[in-house]
Amino acid sequence: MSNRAGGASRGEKIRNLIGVGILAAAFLWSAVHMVHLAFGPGSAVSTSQKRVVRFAHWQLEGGLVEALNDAARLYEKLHPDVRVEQIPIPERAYPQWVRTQLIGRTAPDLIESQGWENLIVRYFVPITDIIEKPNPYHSKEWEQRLVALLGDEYKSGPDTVNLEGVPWRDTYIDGMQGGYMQTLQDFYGMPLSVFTIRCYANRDLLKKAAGTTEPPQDLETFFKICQDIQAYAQKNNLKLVPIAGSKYTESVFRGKYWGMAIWDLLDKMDLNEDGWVDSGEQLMAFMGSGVDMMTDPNIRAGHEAIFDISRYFNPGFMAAERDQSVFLFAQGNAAMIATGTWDAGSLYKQVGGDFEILVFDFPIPRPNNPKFGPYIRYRLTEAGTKAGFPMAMTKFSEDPDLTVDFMHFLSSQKVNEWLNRRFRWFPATRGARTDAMLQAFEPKMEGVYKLFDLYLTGQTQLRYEQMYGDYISAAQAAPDHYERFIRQYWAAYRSDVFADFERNWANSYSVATQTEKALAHARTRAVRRGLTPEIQRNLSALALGQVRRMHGRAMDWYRYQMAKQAYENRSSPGAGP
Amino acid sequence: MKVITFRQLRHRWRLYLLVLPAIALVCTFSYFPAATAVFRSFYRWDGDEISEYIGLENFYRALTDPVLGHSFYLVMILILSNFIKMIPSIITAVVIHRIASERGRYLYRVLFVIPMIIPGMVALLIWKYFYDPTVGVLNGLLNSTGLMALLQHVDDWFGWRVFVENANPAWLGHPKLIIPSLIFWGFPWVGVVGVLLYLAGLGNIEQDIYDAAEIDGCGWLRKFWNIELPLILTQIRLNLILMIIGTLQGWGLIFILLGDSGGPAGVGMVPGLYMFRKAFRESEAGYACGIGLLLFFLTLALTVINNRYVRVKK
Amino acid sequence: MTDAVTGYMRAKTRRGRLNELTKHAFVLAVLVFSFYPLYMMLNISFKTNKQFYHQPWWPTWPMYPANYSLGWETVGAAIPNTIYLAVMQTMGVLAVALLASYVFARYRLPGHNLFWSALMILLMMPGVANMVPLFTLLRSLGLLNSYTGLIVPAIAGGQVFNIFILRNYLEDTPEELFEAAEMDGAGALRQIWNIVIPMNGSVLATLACLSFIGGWNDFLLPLLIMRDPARLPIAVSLYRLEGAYVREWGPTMAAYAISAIPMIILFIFTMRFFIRGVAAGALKG
Repeated sequence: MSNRAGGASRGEKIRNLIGVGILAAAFLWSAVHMVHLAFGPGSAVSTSQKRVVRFAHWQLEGGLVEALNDAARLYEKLHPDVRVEQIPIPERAYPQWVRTQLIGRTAPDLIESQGWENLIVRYFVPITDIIEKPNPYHSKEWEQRLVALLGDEYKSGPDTVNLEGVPWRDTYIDGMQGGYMQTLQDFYGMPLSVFTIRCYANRDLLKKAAGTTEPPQDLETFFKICQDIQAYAQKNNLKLVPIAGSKYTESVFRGKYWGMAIWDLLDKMDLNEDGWVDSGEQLMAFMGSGVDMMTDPNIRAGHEAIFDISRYFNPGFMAAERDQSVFLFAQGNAAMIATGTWDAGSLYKQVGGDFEILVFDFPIPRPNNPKFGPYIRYRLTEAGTKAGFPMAMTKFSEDPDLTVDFMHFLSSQKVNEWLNRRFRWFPATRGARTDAMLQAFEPKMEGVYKLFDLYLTGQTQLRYEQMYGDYISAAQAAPDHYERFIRQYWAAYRSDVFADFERNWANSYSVATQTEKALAHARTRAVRRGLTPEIQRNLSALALGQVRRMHGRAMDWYRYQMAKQAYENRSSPGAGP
Repeated sequence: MKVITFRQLRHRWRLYLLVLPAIALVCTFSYFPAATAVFRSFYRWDGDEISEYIGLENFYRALTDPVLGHSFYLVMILILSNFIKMIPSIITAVVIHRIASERGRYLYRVLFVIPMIIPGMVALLIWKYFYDPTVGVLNGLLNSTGLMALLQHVDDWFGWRVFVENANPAWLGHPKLIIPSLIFWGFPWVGVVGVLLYLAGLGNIEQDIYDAAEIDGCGWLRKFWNIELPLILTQIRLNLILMIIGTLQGWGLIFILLGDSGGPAGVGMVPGLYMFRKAFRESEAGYACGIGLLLFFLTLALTVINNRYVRVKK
Repeated sequence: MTDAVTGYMRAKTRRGRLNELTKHAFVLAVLVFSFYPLYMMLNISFKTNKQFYHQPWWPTWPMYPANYSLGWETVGAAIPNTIYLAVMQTMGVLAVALLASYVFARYRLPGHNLFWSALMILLMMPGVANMVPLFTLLRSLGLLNSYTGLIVPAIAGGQVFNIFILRNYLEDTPEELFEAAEMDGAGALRQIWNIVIPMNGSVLATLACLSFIGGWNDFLLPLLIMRDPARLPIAVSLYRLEGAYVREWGPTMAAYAISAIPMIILFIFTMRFFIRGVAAGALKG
């Protein structure tokens, strides 16, 4: 029997009628909404007279989207014929979304870049020529108009820097290094802020537990504070740990201390003395006879420093996520935390007014520290490490001039200052005033930089992360804990590193082909428009970059062969260890 | 049903008009992409313009790809667990069916529909919240009932290092916990559509059979085995094959819960998710198509096996 | 009816009553677990973050219905979008499938077997691999970032299932009815309108419900091809909401609740159809 023959009861009929009525009403409402979307105010059609600029990013931190919205409205006020659209995408979905938008040619004009080389060269516009010109918003008339809009506290004074007529590139604190792509030898991104990584401490807890309100100046004091906090927690039976840990926090510390510790290996490993240790040089050092991974004291210090610090994390930290550690800190269950300034806004928002936050840089050991002193001597530089919000312009932008102008607007001194105050990030433009709190985030330019990672992309990275994870999360540590770890890793490294190198080397070929394509485009441009100075500069930069890249690859391969040979000599019987 | 031969076509061509929209749509939006996918699986394709013929290389790579191998292993585990998860639906349907009062049965049927109404995304996100280490319900329950302490003891004994003191286990963040979390998801595993389907099937059983069984002195288990089970076996079989195909290809759940890397250490990677990642994140669409083709053959094989060997006698 | 009486009488015996009690208890237990997510969602939607951290289990007072207006701000715009999408998809799918299944039910056209096995094979193709070619196809047709680009593939995708089910039903309709109509001069369309639809109302309603639910939950394609945030359907909106860094649990749960409300309304009115339709479908299965 399929359905009831004969009429439905009256009650049912009424019910059905109401149901259909509701459905019809809902559909009508949605149809009206559609029409409104398509033709109403703010839509594409009604503002079709207007020029449109769209930008997408994944910074969904608290307050950011609103701040950018306000900036967009400000811009629209200044340019009534323009409409600005912001498209925030959650971080998880960001790479896929960007890729599909690019493939589909529906991408917004500006996209926050995550440094994807392959994509950048194909879909984004190099801005090298643009950045040599000054930012029009630094002229006197614009400044007046901006101050009128933003408020008097943004008026220039003796402490600000006059940037009128200065090439856009030089108006950045780091010379726009944050937007530079080393492998492509070109500028693509226009950053808005500068990120630095700092430690944060709960001032009240520090006072109560460790009896100090000064952030630690060196590693020994840092450890002492941690121990005091632990003792305090135990004495009062509190759920309190010195440092709020998570997998992410650990990587933050590792990024700092590892880089600091291995700097001394520069002389031994940088064979062509270009200041970098690339994979070929790394192979020669470890597989040849440059550096013995198992006994090298710098490598050891780089690991043990973080291990010692991790003793003060909450147990099980490797399983915790970034926002868990923030939560721990905000609830007062951890006295300190380390993260980048990109988290600062959210951190402050979560803490609310519960306690005061101290900001300090990572402490380095005193020179007379027997364990670490001789190996960790310099801080890491923060020049160009992480650009905040590097916005890159896509090739399909319908109105590139408008896009660039919008970027000029956002990075002009006054607006940048205003934006970053709202973000609680550090402004990227020179002379932007910062309040007392932000000053702690000012990037320190002097210092060393991380030379290499103890692995190559691929299998060695996987093994390293697994073994390192075991190493760092061990609850108890035998005296030879580090030796066992490094011996195990060395065995894995030995067996996998050559394969990893070969694979990466083969993949880097695709980047070279992309650049060939860019070169071809540039040449076409030159043929069509003639060799103007900008085109010539772009062409020569591309060509030079390509030559450098090919040369680099060849040298890499050469060193790889040498390393292989040296390794075989080492391991063949009759040769030394 | 009227049979139309080729000859009659000339007069009955209007019928084809009726079928045309369906066929055109299916061909364009289902077949054409599928055919393209098959075609592209022999290429190194980035999804956009770069395309290079590489023959069977994608397939060799797929067959030796350890991540793909692990993902199939995980899918097999998931199929097995989903199979076991089909059981509560059957049991619930039988129990409801056996309830004496008709009002009760109707009431329960209605009540069961309600959780199904929640949009799938919402249910997923709520479960994600359940698994949250800090504020989630699961950890809260374990802690407040003291089960967490028990788990910590067991952990000490086995040496998992998952349930440690003072740490809230990250059910979706710890490599060892991901698979159990995926299996446990959806507790109590009573799928509403399943229950309704089974109930309907059971509704056909005549009361006399039950009476006869009573007289014969059957216990409730025998009743189930001999009376109820055979009648819903077709539904079960249908659900089974749908479940297998769905689990083999499915990845939306894992994508939303764990992100496109399959969670920490890639433990939660399934073939569908791997294809998605390869195509949309790493611009290796050709390879993804190759995996898709392999997956299709696997599904085909399983369906054929199911049709041939899992036959139901009416 | 004797079974009701017998059942009732059986329930009355002592052993019978205990039996009944266990059954009820079991079903109620399952129901409690099934409803628990719903309860938590509603519970948390009325709390502030602080209340939530301190007492997530039981309702806290004072309640904060203001969360709902916050939730509405985040996903409210997506609801009419989704209604539009779901309704258009449903209407489209059923219209096209109805036409096709009419033909398949009544006639056996040349190429019949080919078509059926082709349809079956389609069911088995993993959807993901088709995503990229579908995407490029939509791009060539210029359908990206548009609702048409979502609706049309959905209509195409729903054909297989719907034609399959509808054909089963239509085969039941006695041929004489159709022939009588034909003698009256009714064309195929008229026949469908006058015969097929009235007789199979509940199946159509069931399929419409299923289609609507599918459209409501549609997540993947919109995630990839929609660019403008104002035009997203609800599933994508919720997904994006969940990705925010600072989590306001109350408004988030309120947003979830809001997105479930239209479905609840739909079900209050179509429940009867659905249960009956599912029951009937089972027989066909």
